[in-house]
Amino acid sequence: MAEPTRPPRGLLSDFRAFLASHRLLWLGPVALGLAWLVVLHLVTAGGSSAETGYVLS
Amino acid sequence: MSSPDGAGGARPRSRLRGLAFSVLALGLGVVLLELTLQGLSAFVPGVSGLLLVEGGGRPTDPRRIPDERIGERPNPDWFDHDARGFRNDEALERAAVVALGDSQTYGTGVDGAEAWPAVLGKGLGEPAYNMGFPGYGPAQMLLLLEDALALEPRVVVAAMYAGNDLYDAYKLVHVDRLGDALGGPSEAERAAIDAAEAETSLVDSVMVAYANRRVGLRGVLSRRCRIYGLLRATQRAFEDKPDPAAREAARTDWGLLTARAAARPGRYAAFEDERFKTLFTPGYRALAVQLDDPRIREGERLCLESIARMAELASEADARLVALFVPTKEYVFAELEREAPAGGETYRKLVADEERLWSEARAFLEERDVAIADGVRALRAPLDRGEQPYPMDHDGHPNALGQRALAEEVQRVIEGLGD
Repeated sequence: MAEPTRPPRGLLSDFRAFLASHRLLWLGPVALGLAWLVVLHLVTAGGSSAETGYVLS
Repeated sequence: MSSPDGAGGARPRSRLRGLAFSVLALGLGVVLLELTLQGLSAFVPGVSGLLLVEGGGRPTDPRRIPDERIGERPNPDWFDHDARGFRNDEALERAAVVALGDSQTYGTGVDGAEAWPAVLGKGLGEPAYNMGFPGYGPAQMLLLLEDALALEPRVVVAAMYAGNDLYDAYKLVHVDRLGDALGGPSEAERAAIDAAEAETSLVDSVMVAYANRRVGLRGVLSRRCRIYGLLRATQRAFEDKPDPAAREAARTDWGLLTARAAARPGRYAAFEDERFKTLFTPGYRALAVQLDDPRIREGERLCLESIARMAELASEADARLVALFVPTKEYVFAELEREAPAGGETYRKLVADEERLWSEARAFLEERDVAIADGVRALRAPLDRGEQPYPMDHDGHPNALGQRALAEEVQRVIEGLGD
């Protein structure tokens, strides 16, 4: 019996399929970045907003 | 040896494609992160405070908020600002005197109660309202005059600072495209301005001299890219922060200050004689008052025209206008510096330009019958008595003693105005 042949797909639909099966690759940076933003916000909370340093103006 | 069906060739090709897809997917993630951060920083003040910088690469100044009419205005939520955003105990409905000016009037470096408008109010025994704010100059003051006159003052004081008002006026009208009520320059002046700007951007030059602003690709990234802002915020969050004692020492320890000046000779000059010690910043100041630059010359025209127009409008509202000349620290010390040279050629150029500025401003305003309060004389008087009207570090704003000297000079002029 002849092997079933896969219909040829375009590069774009291949890429879409790749994105769907590798979500961590592109959602990871977003999640990491946002999590890091929260950490920084907590680390710098109550920081030196009064210390503006604008003495030259 | 390659297989007859080509399977051995397909595998490396698909591996390569997988690698390319992975890189693209990662890139997509970075772009999505950037877009998310852009959106957050546009709508969430806490995020914009963390990720955005002003031109100088410093954290966004929480004292100011954007304003359509004047570019920026003071933030009413700042702890010692009133409901209008200005630095007063309360947003007065009526005031005998209204003070317009920049950080020299706002009182950067001193308490609000030590800024000259507050001291003036006490001296006169009448309410004085401070409408000074860092970054303003006569061109901005003209835009604020209507608000000032709404307080029905008998005197409006317009403080013009040599150290950056000419630059601020040029930037407001020709770069930010605001406050163009004063008419444009002549065609020849316009051409000279365009030619100078084509050579080097004045704003870039001033920001580099003022605060080491990054230019080029890194400058664009620094100002526009939020991921860059996130990395910068990371670096800032984990760098060593000086404790209050170390910060105080950095302002008052002459050994530390001279070391700082020695490390940055293009930025600071350390002045010292038997009685006084202070740091100058001649490079930046000289740039902002270089009258041979057509853009600064245009800034001078805008400042003086603004003050003259303010005097007319004040007069129509039965108020008198007093122009207060606020010199640079470098100019106040000029005679002493001649005895103990510290600033070099740039300093001397600054002093010569500022001399010319005050002489031209005096002639222009006297011709239009505008009363002048002479801050140069006022700030040099303490030096004659052996008292220093400025802090020891590079801060170019008068200390409490200098602010009092300015207040006394304005009071003297107001009391001499008569009815």
